Amino acid sequence: MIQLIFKYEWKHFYRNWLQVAFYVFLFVIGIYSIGYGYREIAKQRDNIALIEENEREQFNKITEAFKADTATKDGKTDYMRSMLPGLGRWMHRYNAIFYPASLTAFSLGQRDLFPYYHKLNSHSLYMQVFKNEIVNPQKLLAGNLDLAFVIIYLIPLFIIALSYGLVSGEKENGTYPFLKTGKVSVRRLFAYRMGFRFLLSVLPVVLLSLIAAIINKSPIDGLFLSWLVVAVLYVAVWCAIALLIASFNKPSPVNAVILLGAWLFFLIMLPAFLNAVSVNKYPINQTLISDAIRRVQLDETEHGQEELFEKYYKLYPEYREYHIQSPYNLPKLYAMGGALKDKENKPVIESYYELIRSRDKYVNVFNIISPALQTQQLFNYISGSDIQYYLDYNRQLALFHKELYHFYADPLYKNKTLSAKDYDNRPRFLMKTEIGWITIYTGMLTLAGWGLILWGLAHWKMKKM
Amino acid sequence: MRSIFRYELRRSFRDNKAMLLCLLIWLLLGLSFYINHVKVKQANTQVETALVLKKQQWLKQDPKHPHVAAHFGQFVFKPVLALSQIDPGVNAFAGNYVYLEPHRQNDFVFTSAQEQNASVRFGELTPALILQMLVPLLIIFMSFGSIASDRENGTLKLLTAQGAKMYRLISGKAFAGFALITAVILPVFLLLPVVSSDFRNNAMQTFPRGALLCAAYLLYYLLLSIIVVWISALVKNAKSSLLVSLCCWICFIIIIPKAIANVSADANPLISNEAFQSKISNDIKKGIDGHNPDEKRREELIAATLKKYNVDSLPELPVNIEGIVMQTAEEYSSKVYDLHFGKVQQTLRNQNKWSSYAAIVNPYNAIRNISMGLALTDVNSHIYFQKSAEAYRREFVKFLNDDMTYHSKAGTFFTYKLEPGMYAKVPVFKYKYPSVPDTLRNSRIEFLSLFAAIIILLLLVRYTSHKISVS
Repeated sequence: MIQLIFKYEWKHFYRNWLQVAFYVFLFVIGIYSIGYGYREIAKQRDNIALIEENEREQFNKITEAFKADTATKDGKTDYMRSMLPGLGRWMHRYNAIFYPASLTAFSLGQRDLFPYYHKLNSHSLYMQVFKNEIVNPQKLLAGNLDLAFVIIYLIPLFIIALSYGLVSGEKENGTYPFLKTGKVSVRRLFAYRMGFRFLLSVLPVVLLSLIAAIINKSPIDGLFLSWLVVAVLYVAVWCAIALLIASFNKPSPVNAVILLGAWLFFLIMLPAFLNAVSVNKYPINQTLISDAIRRVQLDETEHGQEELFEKYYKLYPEYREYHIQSPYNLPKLYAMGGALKDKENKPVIESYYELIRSRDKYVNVFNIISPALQTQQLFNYISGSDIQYYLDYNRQLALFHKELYHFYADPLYKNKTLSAKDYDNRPRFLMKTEIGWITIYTGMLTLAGWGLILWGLAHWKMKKM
Repeated sequence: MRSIFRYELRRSFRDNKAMLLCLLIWLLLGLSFYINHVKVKQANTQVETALVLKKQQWLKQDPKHPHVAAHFGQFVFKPVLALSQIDPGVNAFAGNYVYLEPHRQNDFVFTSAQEQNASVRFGELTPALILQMLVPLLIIFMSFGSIASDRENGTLKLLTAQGAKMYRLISGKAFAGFALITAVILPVFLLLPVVSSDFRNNAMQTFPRGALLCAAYLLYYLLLSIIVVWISALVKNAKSSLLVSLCCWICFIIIIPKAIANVSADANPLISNEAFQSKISNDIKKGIDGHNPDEKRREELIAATLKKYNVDSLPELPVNIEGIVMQTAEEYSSKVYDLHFGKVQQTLRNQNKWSSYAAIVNPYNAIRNISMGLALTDVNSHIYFQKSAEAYRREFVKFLNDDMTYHSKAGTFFTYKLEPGMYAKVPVFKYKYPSVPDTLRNSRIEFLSLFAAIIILLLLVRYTSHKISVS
């Protein structure tokens, strides 16, 4: 029976040139979106390669400088820059890179919005951390046409186009009474027909995901399978929504309007509303951070410097014993000033990140009432482009900077110099990313719950048909 | 046509569904307006408070060398225009303030979108979203059956038999729908002067810009009303009319603008920050032409200064050569910045040009660009503000370098301090908003497209309507 229904549905589908055109369009735009995601990430990878190359060159030069001919002006300058921590702490840059994950090209999320690398020196962290890549704000506003967009926005529209006349179309064509006389119950018949639409909609999702995996050389691992499960569940939820609307037996135009209304609600109005509420609920005052990004200022009076020493040695008592009376040494003073400035501004910066975290948590609570929000968050989470990763990157950046600070502060205050061997053992940033599988599984369960409840409701409603 | 217009208006007022949808749009407009009003007012207060605080910090500095004071720096905050309550445009994706200091043209930092999770990419709840995306849906729902339903129930045949011309029917119904939409959206613009009283700094700009914004939206709705009624006349029945109109809505409002933005970015790639910074530092070090290194430039400057003051050695100079060297280096780096920032800004303009040209075929692109432009929340306004901030950076740094040049001697970096009263004499940042004619010039393609589309469509309706079937 299923075979017969599917055969009929296939014939019905390919005879409708508009639906076929939409299907072809989905594949075409899907392929474009894969290419787009690939190019965006390729650009970032190229940029990362350039940054890594520049860092390698810098450290080669630093190491080479220890063998330089100090009788020449250039040789002496290079040697001093490598050897003296007071100069190195300012001039040497260390890469901190947040690499794209294996599936980032699938769902770019916030990847184009946040800086994905920093070139840090050992001076004040907050002077360096707030920076942006060169971007077009209008393009950011328009958003990315990546695979996630095709699945989240366009696949539901395809399902709507296929299903708005599922039951009503039969009534409008006058074939409904014949269906009722058949051996198979109307309820089962429409469930099978929706099943066909589900398979038809899942096909591009799975195929495009596989093509994206091949193009991006993404491993077929747990994350990729999670991506597929989430995508399939999302398609199932929309099919269930369409079946439920069909079960109300309204005319086709009314069904189309209701389905489009649901699409508009889940994909535009609800996220926009939640965002607005979260912004007003957790207001952020960016102007408070201005003092943190200002260049380090030193009090030039003797009293001011005494105060600076006291504050600094309270923060780092391990350097007190090396204190030299009246050390009018700018690198030391600036290192102290930078550390104290960061310490003073830490509460403001932490509360800034905390507010962002609160906004994120607040919107995520409502994922449960929107399959689109839930899917978007899961896609970004699986792809490593969710805001949580960026907040974590910033946290790890601060820890790395602390290490970097001491790499230069130790020899600086202990009046030592740096050697080539020290640079071999220099601090290196390696971002540790932990995948929260519980978040992924919970999200999947929410989507599955949506699908089951809606499908169940539709099934129950069709009993009366 | 007048009687058709009156009849259609009466019919719309009696249609409960249409009235309910109008009410829904009103509610959404009210809600989005309120949310944005709170947000924008808050941002405005934050900026005004920060400005006072930063001024105090500047004036209360300890006595410092002018160059050290220059590195204490100034902050320039993007002013909030009252119209951003209607359309915040790209504000969420463009930095809100910049730290100005010598030698460097710093980035604008802190974009609001970085402070929200990825749901911000679905869009923000603003009156612009309702006016640009949802009101067109209201037009579709109110007018999709205007001719098609009359055809289905035979009224169209009767009307034409009584001598009603098809083009008059189409125009009458379109204008009636447009009149209703005007009544729906007008309160938003009438409310604007009332809620703009908090924005003292730009009250003068709000009225003409608000009036033009209202006119632009009305043009947009007139065009859409004609399109929807025309579709209703061209297709067989109301069902097809609704589906075709909805397909157009999805294509023109959801898919095309995003596709255009993405394709234009592919066609005009932006330079990476790493390559950009490296080019700037290279040009400053080696000279823009690659044959004019900073050392050589310095030597030439010293020789020229000695010659100018007719002395043989630096100690004989009546001015501080360190100040002259610093200011000249500043001017050279400014040239380099102008060159490279100019290239980036040109790439941005080239990318956004695609969106302007798309306005020729897509009314949504037209109204979106016009709306952001008039609200001063588009990329052009951001670039204009960036340039104003940069011009001010150069002005205040020059003022301090000149003080060093003419009031101190070489070698007194650690001993010479600015006189206490000098901090107050340093120029302050005064932002001059782009003029309304400039904004209109930037949006000329979009405005012309809307006008042309309306005229072409009315002509098409006039000269092809006789081919439209009445049964």
